[in-house]
Amino acid sequence: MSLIELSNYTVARNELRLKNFSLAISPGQCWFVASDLRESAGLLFAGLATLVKPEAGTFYFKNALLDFSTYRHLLACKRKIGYISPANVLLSNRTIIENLLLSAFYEKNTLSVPLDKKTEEMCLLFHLRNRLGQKVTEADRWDLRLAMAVRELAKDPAVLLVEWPEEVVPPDRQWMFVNLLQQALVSGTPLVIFSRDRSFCANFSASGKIVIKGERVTAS
Amino acid sequence: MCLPPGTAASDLCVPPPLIRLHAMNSPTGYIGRKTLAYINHLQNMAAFACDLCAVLLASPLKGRAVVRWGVVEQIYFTAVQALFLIIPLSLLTGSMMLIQFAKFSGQVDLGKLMVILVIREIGPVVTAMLVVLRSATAVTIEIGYMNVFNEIDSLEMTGIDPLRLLAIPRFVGITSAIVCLFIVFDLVAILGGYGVVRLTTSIPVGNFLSDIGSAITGADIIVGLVKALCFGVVISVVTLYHGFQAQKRITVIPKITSTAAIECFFYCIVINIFISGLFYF
Repeated sequence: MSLIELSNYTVARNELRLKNFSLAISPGQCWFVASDLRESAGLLFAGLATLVKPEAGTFYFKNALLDFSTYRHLLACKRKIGYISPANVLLSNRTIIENLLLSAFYEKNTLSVPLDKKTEEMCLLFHLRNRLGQKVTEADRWDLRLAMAVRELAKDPAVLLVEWPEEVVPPDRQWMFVNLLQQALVSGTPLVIFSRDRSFCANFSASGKIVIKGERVTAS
Repeated sequence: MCLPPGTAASDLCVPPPLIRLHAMNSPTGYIGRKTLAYINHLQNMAAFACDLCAVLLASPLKGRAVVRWGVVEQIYFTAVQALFLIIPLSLLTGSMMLIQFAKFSGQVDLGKLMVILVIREIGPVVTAMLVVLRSATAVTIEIGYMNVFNEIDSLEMTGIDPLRLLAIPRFVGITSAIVCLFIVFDLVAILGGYGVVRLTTSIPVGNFLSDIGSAITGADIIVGLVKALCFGVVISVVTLYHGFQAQKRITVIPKITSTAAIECFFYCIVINIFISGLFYF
């Protein structure tokens, strides 16, 4: 059973297009993405994160056909997709902790929610604990990206899309990030990784490879 | 009329391509294209307003605390922080008008004149302009910036509806702030203006306050409030619409900000005339 299944899918953004490809991602799999253009990989990831409306094709998530007619139909699905990418950011008019808790505030309908244990542990691991009160506009670039990664990992995603991790996690804290991804993989969460850092990729054994050349996408 | 074989009557009405091109480049073509684009723009804005109302009226229990938090922040930013501007502005306006019109005391009913000018016309318009200059432009910039830097996409990735979390607090906050500021403006302009003139000049203002009391009617207050409410709705919808429509380029932000401010100003003037016409003519 596939978690994500794309058939005859075509997505386009900013003059870039990925045409007519099919892809199936199952639990526990680890896919690597190789692309001639970084932007093309970004488009594939945005497509997998349902951030780009397809021009053609179907997207099944947990065997349910996604309806792209309005963004509201996709919110529940997006919540189950962990998208760790330099393109994913925090809300700039809030503090880091408010960003981490925003989803909990929203779901539990109260503003007095403490950080859950898992998030707190990740914040300690990434040395973010003392910077949680900082405003996003005043915080360090690495701290912001790490906080974004923590937010995505903490939402217990059904699938993790990791794009350009070398720009999300600083080198000195990369092993912690790799550990968390490996734990997620062992627990059955599929990973899709796009990285040009060989030492990072060496930590995972690939179940398949997605190759992007121009507008063509092939999964093998 | 006899048509050549294979020619439909409608084909005869279509000018050849060169004539069509000329027509499109002529002033008429230009005006037509602009008009159609503007109608399209108005339709999109109306659709956005309907979407906003649907989200506002649906108001599920989930997320209400965060939305309320946003509303309070917006009211603080738009209304409370603007008090330091609106109070001196209304004092100056009220006292200036009293000084000018006091010259005609005996010829005009000063109370009635102040009611007509301040409560019906100047109060709502000046309040709306202040909010447009101070807060509405800031909202367009903020939302446009969030759009350009993927913050709205990121918010969607957490499963939160950006329209509910970002737009509703600003819509409710700006609208209620304008209504509150309008009341403050009127009170300060009339009472404060009277006080300033009484204390600092020897201009005879007579029984100004009792004149106001006898001149003012329920309709005047209702018209002022209706205008302020409509201005609030229009300003928030226009600013939010432009912010959310920002393409993913930072250079569009100055353009959308100025467009939003100009449109707010224009629509407020049109609504002002329309409501005044509806109630008084």
